[in-house]
Amino acid sequence: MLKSELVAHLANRNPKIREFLVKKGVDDIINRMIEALLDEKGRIELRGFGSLSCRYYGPRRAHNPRSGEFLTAAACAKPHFKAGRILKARIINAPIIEDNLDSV
Amino acid sequence: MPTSSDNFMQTLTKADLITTVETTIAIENHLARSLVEDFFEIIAATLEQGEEVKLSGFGNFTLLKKKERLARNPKTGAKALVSARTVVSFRASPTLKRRFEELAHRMHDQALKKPPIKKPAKELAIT
Repeated sequence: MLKSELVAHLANRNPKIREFLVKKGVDDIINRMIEALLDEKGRIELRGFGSLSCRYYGPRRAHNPRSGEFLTAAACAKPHFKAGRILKARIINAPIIEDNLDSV
Repeated sequence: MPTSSDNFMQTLTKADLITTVETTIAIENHLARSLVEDFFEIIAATLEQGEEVKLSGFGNFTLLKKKERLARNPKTGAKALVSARTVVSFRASPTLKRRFEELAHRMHDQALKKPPIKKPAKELAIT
């Protein structure tokens, strides 16, 4: 499912909100979440869904396995999603549809 | 092990998202609430049906199949069989990844006094 399809679904379920506002609302939700993850170095907790947090990994010594040469791998940060208990339980028996793998 | 250079954390909740939507698109509170709740409900329901959710500019919620495996209860050491299951994972989009990289550099600059040394991961970001 792509963002556009999500917007269409949402608009269907919320007929009182005009579609262009639904679209803007979705973008605002996403942007607010990105902002929270990045600028406040914070967490997002969504009851029943899960939580997103920012994980920071400091720089580390790495080496090129072919040449044996030592390098310093830069610090990196990654967003991490942890599914909530309810979502996990809902997904546990989900089949996996491979059909939209190439649709992006 | 993830570390945060900063102990001060703020948690964004559904209530914050509702307030955001309520003000940015100027709709009544109960409509904003239903929009935000449906947003996550539709994502969850789509995943439940086995379809992945791709939000451009943010990331993809993908499904992974896990095989049955033997695990141990870390407290008692007792073996337990974990059944085969489907789990969700989140992959950040390239744009979000880039912004996280910039954040890592900023956090590193702040934490320069004590750079932690980590085990090499599979994918190396080598500068």
